Parts: sequence; C-alpha cells; structure tokens
Amino acid sequence: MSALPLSETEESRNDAVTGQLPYAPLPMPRQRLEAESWLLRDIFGRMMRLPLFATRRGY
Amino acid sequence: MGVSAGRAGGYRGAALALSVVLSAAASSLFIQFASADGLGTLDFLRTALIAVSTLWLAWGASQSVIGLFYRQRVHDRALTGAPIRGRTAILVPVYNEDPIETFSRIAAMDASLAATNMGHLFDFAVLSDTRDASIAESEEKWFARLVASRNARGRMFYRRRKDNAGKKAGNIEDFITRSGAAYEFALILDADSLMEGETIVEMVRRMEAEPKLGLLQTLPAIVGARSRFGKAMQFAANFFSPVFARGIALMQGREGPFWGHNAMVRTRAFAASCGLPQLSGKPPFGGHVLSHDYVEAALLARAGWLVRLDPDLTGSYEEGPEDLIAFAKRDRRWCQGNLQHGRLLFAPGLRTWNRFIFLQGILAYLSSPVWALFLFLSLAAAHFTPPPDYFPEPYQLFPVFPDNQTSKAMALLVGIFGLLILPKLLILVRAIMSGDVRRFGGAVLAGMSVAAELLLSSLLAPLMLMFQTRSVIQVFLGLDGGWPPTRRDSAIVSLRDAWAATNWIVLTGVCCLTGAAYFLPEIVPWLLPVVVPMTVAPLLVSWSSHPETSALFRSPFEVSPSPVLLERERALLAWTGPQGIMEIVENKQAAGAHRHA
Repeated sequence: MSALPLSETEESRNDAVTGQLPYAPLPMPRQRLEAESWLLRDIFGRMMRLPLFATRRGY
Repeated sequence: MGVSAGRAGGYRGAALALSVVLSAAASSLFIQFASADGLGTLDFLRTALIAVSTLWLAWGASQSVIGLFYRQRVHDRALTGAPIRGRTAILVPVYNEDPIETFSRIAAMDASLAATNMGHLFDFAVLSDTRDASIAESEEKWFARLVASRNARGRMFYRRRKDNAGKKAGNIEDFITRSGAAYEFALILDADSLMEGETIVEMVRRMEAEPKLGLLQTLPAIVGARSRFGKAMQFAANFFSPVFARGIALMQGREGPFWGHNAMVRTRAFAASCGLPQLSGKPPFGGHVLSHDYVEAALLARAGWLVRLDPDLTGSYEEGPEDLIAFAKRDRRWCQGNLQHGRLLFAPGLRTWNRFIFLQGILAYLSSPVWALFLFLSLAAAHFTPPPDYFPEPYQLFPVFPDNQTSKAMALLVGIFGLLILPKLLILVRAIMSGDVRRFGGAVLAGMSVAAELLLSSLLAPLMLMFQTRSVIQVFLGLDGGWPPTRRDSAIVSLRDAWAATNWIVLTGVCCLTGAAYFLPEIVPWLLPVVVPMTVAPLLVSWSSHPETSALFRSPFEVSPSPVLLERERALLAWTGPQGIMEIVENKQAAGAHRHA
C-alpha cells in the first residue's frame, strides 16, 4: 500500500490538510444490465424513438 | 439471523395473496356499483384502474400487517461485545452541502467510535462532488478544523473530484477503485447521516460473522426536524416505519433492500458486483443509473451475496426534508430513477424478487397518475350517464327504480380508507399494548399525534398526487430531472414561494370544482376532500413549513437523545460559538444561494 498519486480526476490537494487516502485499487468491472433478448431490449429502444420520449435536457 | 428463504417465500406469498384478494374484492364492488346504469368502456377502464390502485395500497398495508408479527429472536443480539478485526472506511459523499453541519456529524461519530475502543479500525473519507467553488473552499477549511479537533491526521481524508461523473454512485466507485482494497468493509453514508459508534462496530461484527453477507442495511430514524411538515414526517418515520421495515425484513429472504446510505458493504463483493454501466440511449431512461441503490442490491444478490436489512440495529439516523416543496423535489429525482428501472426489469440473471422490487418502485410512482386518471374518468362517466328510465317498457303501469348502489360505493370508499388508515391504527394499538407509546409521550399524546399525522397526510395527499403525476408525465416526455440538491435547512416557505410552486395545482383544483359545480353539482361533496386541499395548496405548503411548537409529533430522540446526537450538538456548538457564528452564516448564505439557483 502506497500513497495515492495525484490523478486527473482529483482536484483537491493531497497535502497535510486533506490527507492521503491509501492507494489500494480494486477494479469494478462493468456489469451487464441490458436485457439479453433483442425483443425486450428493443421494446425500450423503439419506445425512445417515438416523439413522446424525445429527450430534452434541462429540468 | 436473517429469515430463511422458505419462510420469506411464505410471507411474500401471503402478502401478495392478501393484496390480490383485496384488489379483486374492490374491483368486484366497483363493477357492481358502476353497472347500475349499464356497463360501458369507461366502466371497464375505471375498474382496471381501481384494481391497480387498490393492489398497490393493499400491498403496502400487507407489509405493515406482516411487520406486526415480527418477533426479535434472542440470538439477534448475541454478537454484541465480540471483537472485530477488519478495517472499515466510513464514506461521506458530499455535494454542495453545508460543511459545518456535515463535519460536525463526522466529529460526533468519531468520538462515538473512540468510546468503543475500536476507533483505530475505522477511517473517514469525505468524498466531495461539490461544484460550488466557495463551498469547496469552505469544505477544506472546515475539514482542517475537523482533523485538528479530533486529532485525526492519517485516519480522516478529504478528496474532491474534478467532475461528478456517475453522481453519487460514481463518487463511491471512484473511492473503491482507488482505495477499496485497503478496507474490508465500507460504511456508506449520506451527508446528513449520523450513526452510533457501537452500531457501526456491531455491523462489522455481523459482517464478519456471516462471510456471505455482502450488504447490511439499517433503518435510519429521522431526527432534527423543526417544521410541522418535518416533525410529522419524523414522527411517522419513527412510529410507523419500524413496523414496515420489519415487514420488509420478514419478506427479504436473501434479497434485502439497499437504500443508498446508512448501510455497510463488503468492499470486495461490492467492487466485483456493482460496477454500474451507462445504459444505452439518453436520459431519462438511458445514461447513468439514477436510483443506483436498488440496482446495486440486485447485483449483489445476482452474484450470490446476501443482502440484508436488520431492523433491530438502532442508533442509525438521518434528516429529512422540512417542507413539501423540498420533499417533492427529492421525490422528482426518485421518480425518474424508479421509472428508469423499467429498463432493468429483464436484466439477465436477476432474482425474481429483485425484479419485483423494481416493479414495486415503478408502481409507487405510477399509482398517482392512475388515481388521477380514475378521478378524471369518474367525472367523465358521471357526465355521460343517461338519466334513469323509470318506465323502460311501453305501457308500464308501475315505475322501476334503479338499484341503489350507494351502499357499495360507501363500502368501497371505507375499504380504500381502511387500507390507508388501518395499518397505522394497528401500529398504534400494538404500541399501546407493548408500552412503546411511552417513548412518544404516552398513549394520549401518541394517539393525538397519529390523528394529526393522518389529518395532515390526508390534506397533503392530493398535492403529492399532483406533484407525482406531473413528475411521471415529465419523465415520459423526456425531461431529465438532473440532480438538484435537496434543501434541508429549516427556512420557512413564504406564501409567495409556495404560490410559485403550486399555482398550477390551485388552477387545476379551481377548474375541477367549478366544472363539477356547473355540470355535476351532485358529485361536488365527493370531490371536496381532493379539490379543497388543491385550491388552498400555497397556504398548506407555507403553514406546514412553520416551526411546530406544540407537544404533538414528539419523537423518542427529543425526550432522551442518544449519545451520538448529544455529541453532535456539542460539536456544532463548539464550532459555531461566538467566533464561528459569522462563518456559519456565510456558509448558509452561500449554500442557500446555490440551492435556490
């Protein structure tokens, strides 16, 4: 276990004020969540192409 | 300690069967009532809607009734006192929160852990996703003070991400992927979470005693409410929710709930099972998984880990919204997250119960537009009903009066209100019989509080129905709810702010009332319980946001606060004394300006 190196995703200073988190990476593999059946997967895929489900950002 | 899969299956089956029977009974009563003047398309539609609505209500009622049968077994607490070995990271994700409020909770938890003599096995990590530069600066300043006051260099850490990719789930993932292997367990909190040190240690004991346990959830009690709305919610959460939670615990089997905070995970299990992908397509149905907690619980169960809620774990606290607007804003986020779970109903390999829980979460929000549609169709049906024909046959001597179906309508109405009210009354009766009411000020005060909570929730229910209906429509129209922070200060909602948030509800209420009075005056009395609260919505919202000064809604933690609550008050007072008072005001203003932006 070594000191955490600065990374691009980290903005705060790793100094005496904020402390140094231990560097001990643990991978988090992406899980499969989409339905395997093309039919079930496509129900939503096709629904979202309908005008009713057209995406507008900005709540 | 958990309920066996077989017994859980029995409870699930019983709750489901009871719900289906009650829903069928309600539908049958309704169709008899509606068929008095002949059955039309509208009647079949309304019967389908009433079947869905009552199924949902009956399901909630069944859970609480089952919860009344929960008996804590002796060996549930047998682990207390056993030593622990594993290291635990206590994760405090923050997002534009008031650092003084959050860090004083950390100070209190640290002191509470120190009192267990096992504090050396725990590190705190503040995981900041704060986007406001002035709040971020304040976070660093107050973090330094926290570390100094607790002499915690080397066991309290603060880091801030440059962007908040993946929001809270991404924030936790960022920690796990960079530091997770250093800890056997991670206690996931919210910024407003507070937990007793002994409770945290006990959670580690239970995780160590059950190697297949991937996640252990506590039931957080709501504390710190000041407004009428907040205190009513706090009372409901402390008086009713434990029974509901016991119902969930009896039905959970190996697939318990995760509510996103005040829960401990086995770090390696979480890392191996809970890497969330981006869903294909754009928000609101695609993109990041919003209500990630339910999904993470399902993924852990899919990987064979045990996910469990232990309702006997006390000493777990959180704070809640102080007014209806803040509540509705949070609810809007949850609505979008739950509806997004429609994408995951057929995810590969999930356990049936987890799929059912997704469906339950979706129904929780769809039930509002279903009720709204039912009311609308009932108005339409009343309008299109032909007048009674007393002489259907030519040359008929005596009139034929249509069957009076009022008794069936009343029975249905009583049944529906029964589903809403009966579980709460049963919980009150049980609390009186067990003596638990003493913690809530005695039988009389608890009874009055239950009555007041029923009255207030009945008055606010039509408003929530409107907010939720709008939320569902917004999500289906593709309006992305984003991630607005919830206002959690106790500021009173002015009439002007309340009007701005609810004027569309008032307008809908006035239109319904005048339309009904003009076209269908005979049904106006039936509509009043729904439309009157709608027409006075701003008054209700503003009034309920004022401080509650009476003895009503007393919670056990106000009468005898637990040690960590007292410790937190001490820390807050020490930090916001005469010298710090200006700083907290500045922080509040900065946070408030951001929150209202």
